Parts: sequence; structure tokens; C-alpha cells
Amino acid sequence: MRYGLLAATALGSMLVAAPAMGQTVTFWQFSTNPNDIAAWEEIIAAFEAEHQGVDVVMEIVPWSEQQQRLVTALTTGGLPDVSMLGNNVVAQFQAIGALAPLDDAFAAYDAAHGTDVAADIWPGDRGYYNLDGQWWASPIAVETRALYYRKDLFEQAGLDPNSPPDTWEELRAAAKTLTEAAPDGVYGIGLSTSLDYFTIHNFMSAYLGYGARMLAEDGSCGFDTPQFKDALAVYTGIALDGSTHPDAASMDGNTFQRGFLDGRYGMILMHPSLYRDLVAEQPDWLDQVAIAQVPAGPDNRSGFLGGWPLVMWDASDAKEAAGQFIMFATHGEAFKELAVAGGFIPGSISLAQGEPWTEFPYPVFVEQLQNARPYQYPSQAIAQMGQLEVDTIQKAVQAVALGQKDIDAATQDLCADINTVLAR
Amino acid sequence: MSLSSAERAPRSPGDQALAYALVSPAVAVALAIAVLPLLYALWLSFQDWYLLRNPQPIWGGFKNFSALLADSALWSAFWRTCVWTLGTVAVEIALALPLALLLNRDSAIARAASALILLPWVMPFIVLGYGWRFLLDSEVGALHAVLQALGVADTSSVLNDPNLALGVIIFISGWKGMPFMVLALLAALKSIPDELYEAAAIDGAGHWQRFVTITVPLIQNTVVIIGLVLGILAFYSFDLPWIMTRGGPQDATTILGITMFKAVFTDLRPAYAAAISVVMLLILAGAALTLLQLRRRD
Amino acid sequence: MNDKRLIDVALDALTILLVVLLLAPIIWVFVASIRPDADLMTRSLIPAQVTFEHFADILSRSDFLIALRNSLLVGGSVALLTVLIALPAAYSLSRFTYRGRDAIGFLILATQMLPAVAVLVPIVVIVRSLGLANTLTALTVTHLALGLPIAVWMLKGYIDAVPRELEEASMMEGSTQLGAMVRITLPLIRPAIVAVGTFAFVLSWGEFLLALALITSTDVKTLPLALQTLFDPYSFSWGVVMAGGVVIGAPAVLLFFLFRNQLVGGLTAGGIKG
Repeated sequence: MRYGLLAATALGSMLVAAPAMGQTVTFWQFSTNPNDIAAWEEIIAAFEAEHQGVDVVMEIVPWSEQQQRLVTALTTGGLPDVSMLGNNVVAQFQAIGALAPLDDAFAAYDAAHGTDVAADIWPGDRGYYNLDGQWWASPIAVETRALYYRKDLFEQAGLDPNSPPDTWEELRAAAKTLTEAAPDGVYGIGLSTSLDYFTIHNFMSAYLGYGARMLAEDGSCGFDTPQFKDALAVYTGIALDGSTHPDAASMDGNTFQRGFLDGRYGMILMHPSLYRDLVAEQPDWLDQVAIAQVPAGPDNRSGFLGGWPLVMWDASDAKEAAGQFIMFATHGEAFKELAVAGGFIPGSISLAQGEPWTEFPYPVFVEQLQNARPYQYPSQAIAQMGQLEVDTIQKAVQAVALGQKDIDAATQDLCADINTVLAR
Repeated sequence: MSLSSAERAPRSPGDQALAYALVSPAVAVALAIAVLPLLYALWLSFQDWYLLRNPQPIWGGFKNFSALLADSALWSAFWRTCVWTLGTVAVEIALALPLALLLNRDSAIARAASALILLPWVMPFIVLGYGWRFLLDSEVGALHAVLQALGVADTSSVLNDPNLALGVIIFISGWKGMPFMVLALLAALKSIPDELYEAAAIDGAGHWQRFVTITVPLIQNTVVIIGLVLGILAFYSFDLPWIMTRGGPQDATTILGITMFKAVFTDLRPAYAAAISVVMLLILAGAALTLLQLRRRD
Repeated sequence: MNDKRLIDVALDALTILLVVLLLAPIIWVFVASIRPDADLMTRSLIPAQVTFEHFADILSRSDFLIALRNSLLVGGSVALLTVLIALPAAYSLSRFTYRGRDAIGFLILATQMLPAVAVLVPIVVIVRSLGLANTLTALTVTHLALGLPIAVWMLKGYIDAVPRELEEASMMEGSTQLGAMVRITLPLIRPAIVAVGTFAFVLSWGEFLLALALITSTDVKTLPLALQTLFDPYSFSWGVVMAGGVVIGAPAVLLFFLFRNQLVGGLTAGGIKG
């Protein structure tokens, strides 16, 4: 009897002390691009080679479905161990208690590799991923939107191709001049006023640049200020001037991107991948494309902060292995190869300042990342951000652009909507 | 010799047993896939489950229902959905009836056409949505040019205009559902015996008269039942308005399907969504019952 | 005789015209699927270049082909099962009177009135607890609910329209009620059965939300899910999406083409007397 108990204890302690043996880590990956998938498979293979006994199972959950899948899994079970996540909904899932903190994983990695991973994270990302003093995500990609412009169209319109607009007011003026000088069907800028995400991705630079903030000190809607209204005025003004496509109030980002590739816009605020597409399509005017930083407002220059991290779900049974996988995939050589294959800027400051992100067009974006901020800057990320990002602010922009509401009414309704959501 | 077509009393217990047996698989499916989830939805509608506040549902009583009654956006969406539903069915009937009459012929073209006409219904919304968006695009859309010539559209696409957008998407919704009505009407038309028409022709009835006195009564049933069914399907439409306009511009095309989808997946309020579906079910059931009773009285 | 030929030709021409008009957006999708992306966004309706690269892309994605097979399997099963379950139910509701008949009929119809969003969560919970998550079986059974109510009511309507005298005549000659149903009524409502089966197939074919909730792994995915994977925000190609649409739309139409003769059949000579 005693011997049996002893044996059991010995066995038990062996199991506890042993490294993660025979564990499975399910990983939901959101990109359906074959290049990305191949790159992820390589990372997984490398990780499994270094960590015997851990089996990483990757499932492809397309970006467009991830919200539905995650919410369904939240309510019915079936969450993965690790997944990607939209950067601005990390707070949402953290607030529900669905995520597991990564501080231990960070510390373990630092101890083993002599690094300080937290210091290598972009300042804007800190706003999204460091909540209540803990780390809840490890960044993979970051992106921001910069101003692509056509030097040839600038010249044609009598504008100096080497001095692109630096402020939103200048942008509005330039867009107008470009539209007037350009042939029919070509517009000054591909600016969206629709309910699509593209609108908020561009407009947030305007309202942050004018010094507006989404949340007031007391946590309620902070948009009801002259700064926000000025930003709204200049942004919708561009559309009301006729400087963008007449259907801008119902077009999505893909359509605008396609339009720029077809030479229909003189300017557009877009991510680095657009340049990759330009190179792939080789339009005649490719060498006339230049990129400048996003326009500044009177208060500051703020870029859109996109990107996504890896997160660990609290429902996981394999937290240690999951944490190791997350750290492995977001640091080191393997991570760098992933970023190169995927064509995105890595969420690590030190990596992004090295090759190949020193080649055109990356430096402009990398530089701008220092000023890329979350929507609710300077407040901490809120759990309701996911809901608000969908169309709340876009509705205000669209209403003014369609001439349905004036600036004051739109702002008032916007704050009413936001406060309703916050009060739930 | 013939008894009327009205129902007769069952003849024997064996008959009764047979009747129940025949209908039981369908009832089993209905119970498993609809009644059980409905009971769950009913239970859920009384819970308080806003994922950001309570990871697990807790009892909420009538909280969701009182919120529902006060939710003006919801009721706007409801009335919009009623307009949408009636409009969709009207378009479906208007398109399908002439088409079915035309296809009810014995030529190779008619047969090929009746297979091809299935396409709008079979192709996924997501692809059709982009096809229609292209046609309505103010720059490259052929349809936009036509609408402009008719004075319906301005320089920007009709999808930009809140009133027109709803009308246009209703038309597209009807267009998409029309094939099924065509199919059902074809089946109904083909089961009308030729002898009836021949007899009427011999009696001197013209085309129109034959249509009104023979065709219409015999396909009336089909039109009503299929119309009801297509109406119910249309009531919960989500894909089409979502893809075409994301429910916009502003709220112009936000119908119930979108509201409920958002309630669950964006607003993270599954219990509220359950309450909405319970209320809508009651309303729909009431409407359907009324329609059926009216029919019975004819 | 000539008059009739002329009318036939005229009606045929009218049919073609109407079909082309009604199918214009679909024709656009088909044409779009063979145009290069750059050409797609120009003003012209006529392609300047033709390419099959989009189809090559689609068909090279193994997950798409697997999804195609799965959708065919599920759709076919759903169509078959729907007819097999709906037919007896419709017959029962039409030909017999018994207690609870109206209630049962209404119950079946009412199941149509629940949106997928509302039943999503409980169905997933049930399926997961049965251990059937991620199986085509679960999807097939769930899809039954999509078309069954309509199938029952539609068939009931057609059965109602077939006069009882025909069955009674057959039963006078010694066949059972069921026998009469199979031998007499069934052939008469064959077009409706085909229509109902088609309806169930198509509903299952295009169903997305339930598939999204129940299916996670690639080898069990259905076509709508596979199509969604084409919409990656960072590498989006209109042409490939259109090609995907064609791949989804074409097989269903093809299948229907094969069955169109069933739809054409109607009452043959010696039907109803007076």
C-alpha cells in the first residue's frame, strides 16, 4: 500500500516536472494567403523541432470570419489555445476574462535569451496590449497608413511634386487642385466616407491630429469638442469639394485601392502592401509614385495603428507550451522570415529598423510608427472598442458627407451613440 | 359517386396510426432542430448576458424585453423589414409570373431557360453583391447609365441615396428569390391539364379569359404558399444588404437580420438577440396565421 | 401551321431576351471571372483580354475542391432526406384528419420562422455535446430544418390539388392507401417533388452561418466557407472571387439541367375525368 502510494507520488512528481510532453496547441491563423500559410508552417516546424512533444495544429480562420467564430466559441466552447486577434479587440476579450496574461511567458523568454521583449514593442501597441499593468498579447505585425501620391499628376496640376501636403488643410487644397486639373474620372484623392473600416482608418489621423479624443477624462464620449468638429469639417470637406469619387459614401477600401492601382486617384492613404501590388502590376507611372507621412493636424501628427498580435486564451489546457509558441513565433529569426514572407512590418522595433525594412517604401512607414496611435488615445483601450469601430464614427462622417446632417448634429448623435454603447 | 374533396373523418384506428406515422419524421426534425433551440432561445431571452459584463448568463427577468420595447432603432428596423419583405415578395411574383407563363412551353429554349433562370438563386450573395455593385457604379456601371437616363439616379450611384438604396436592394432581393417562384409556378402550371384549356377554347373563351378563369384559380394556392415562405425567408435577410451597403447609408438598409447579427457578434449581447427573435417569431407567427385563416375563409 | 411556327419562334426570342436581361448581373460575373483584374475595373463591358488564371487559381486550391465535394455530399443528402421526410408528412397532412393535425402543420411551418442567428448557439451546444462537431452529418441534419417546412407545405399544396377520386378509384380496385399514394399521386406531383428537392439542395448549398459555426477543419468545409477564404483583406483579387462564384453557381445549375425533364412531366393522357 505504502509502496504504491510512494510510486504514485514519484510518478506524479515526474509528470509535473517533465517538460510539456505530448501536448497539442491549437492555433487559429487568420490569413488565407498561401505565402503566409507556408511561412507559418515553417515556423511551426521549427518550433516543434526545438520543443519535442509539442504538436502545434494550425487552423485557418479567415479574417472575415474570426469575430463570428470567436464569439461562437466563447459562448459554446471550442476556443483555441493560441490565435491571432485584431489589435483593437484585445481589450474586449481581456475584459471578458477570456485571455490569459503573457507576463510569465515574457519573463521566461527574457530569462532564456537575455532580451527585454517588452521594451521592443511599439509605443502605440503598448496602448493596445498592455492593460491594467499586464501584457495580454505579443505583437506580430504592425502597419500604418501613409500618403501615396503621384508626382506626375502633381506636376500636371501645377503643384510641387517634391513638397506633398503636410497638413490636412493642405491635403484638402491639393486634392481640389488635382481634381480640377485631372481628366474626367480621375480624382484628387481616394478618400472614403462610407461605413467601411477604411473611413475610420483614415479619419482617425485627422481627429487625433486636431487634438480630439474619443474618451473624456470621465470615460464618456469626448468628441463633443471644437477640435473634433474641425477635423470632421476638413475631412468631409474634401468629399464635399468633389475631390474624391462621387460614390465615396458607399465604397469600400478594396475598391479605392483598386482605383489607385488603375490610376484614378492622385493620392491615397494606404498601407505598405499597396506598393507591393503596384510593383506587381507595373503601371506606366510606377516611378512617379512617392510616399509621404500622413498629414498632421494643428495639434500633432498621428498615424493609424494597425496590426495584430498572438494571444493566449484562458480556456487553454496547455498554457506553458502555448506561451512558448507565442514567444517563439514573435521573436528571432523565424519571426523575421515570417514578416518578410508576409510582407508586413514586424511588431518589434529593433527588427523593423533593420533589413529589409530599410528599403523603399518601408522607412516612411517605420518612421511614422513612432507616432501611430490607437483610436482612443490617450486613454487606455476599452472593451467596447470592437463595437465602436464597426460603424459608429463612420456614420457621423457619412452623414455629413451626404449632406444629411451638419457637423454639430452629427457630432451630437455620435456622442449619443457612443455613450449608449458605453453605458450598456 | 365522388365525395367532395373536403376532408373526411378517419375511418379506422389503423388509419390514424398511419397518419401519425407518416408525419412523425418531420415532427421529429422540427422538434430537434427548431423546438429545442427555440426553448433555449426563450430561456436565453430572460437572461442577462452582455458578454462584456457577465461571461456567463445570469437571470435578467424581463430586462431584455423592456429594453427591446424602448429600442427605437430596432423598431425602425422592424418597419423597414416589413417594407422589405412585402416589396421582395411583390417583385418576386411580378417577375416570376410572366416568366413562368412564358417558360411553360415545350421548346428546347424554354427548357434551357428554366434551368438557367435558377442562377440568381443559386449563386452566393457575396458574388452577386459585387456584380450588382459594379452594374450600379456611377462610373462603370451600365445600369447606372440607364437609371441616369431615366432620371432616377443623380451623378452618384443610387446606393448612395438612402431612399433609393432600399428600393434598389429590395429589387435585387426579389430578383434573387424569383427563380424559386418560377419553379413552383412552373410545377403548378404543368399540372393544369390541357383538356381544361381546350374545353374552354371550344366554348369560345379567349386567351385572357382562359388565364383568369382557369390559370389564376389553380395557381393561386401556389402563389400564396410560396409567397408566404419566400416572405419568411426574406424577413431574416442578412447577406444582401450587408454586402451591398453594410446596412447603410446611415441606417437606410438596416433590416432585422443585420440588427440581430450585430447584436450577437458585434455588440456581444446574445440574450438580447434571443429576446428579439422570440418577439419576431410571435409577430411572424401571428401574421402567418392570419394569412392562412383569411385563405381558409375564401 | 405557319402561324404557330411564327409564334413559337417569336416566343422563343422573347424568352431569350428576358433571360439575358434577367441574368445580366450573372453574365457579368461569368465574364468577369475570365478577365484579368486590371481589365475588370475599366469601363468596358467587353473584355480586352481573356485569362483563365483565376480559375487555375481556384482549382489549384485543394481546399476549394474538397469543399466542392463536401457541398455536393451534404446538398445531395439534404435534398434526398428532405423529400423522404416531407412527402409522407405532406400526405398525412393532406389526406387525413386527426387530432392535432392543424397544430402539427403549423408547428412544421413555424420552424421556418426562426432565423439561423437565433438557433445558432443552442444548435452548436447540442451538436458539440453529441460529439458531432465538425462533421458533415451534423451539418446535413441541421440543414434539413432549412427546407423541410417549405417542402412539407409545398407538397401538401400539390397533393391537395390532386383529386381524391383518383386514389379512391385505385383503392376500389384493391390497393392500399399507401399503394395508391405511390402509384397514383406521386407521379402526378413529380414536378413538385423535383422542385422541392432542388429547393432543399440550393438552400443547403448556399448556407453559410450554420456551416461557419459547426465546421472548423479544412477537410470538412463547404463551399461558402471556402469562398470566404478568398476575401483576405491583404491579397484580394476580384477575378478570383468571381471565379469562385462561378464554381459555386455552375454545378447547381448543371445538376438542375440534368433533372429538367422531370420538371417538364405533367399529367399525361387519361387524367381527370370531368
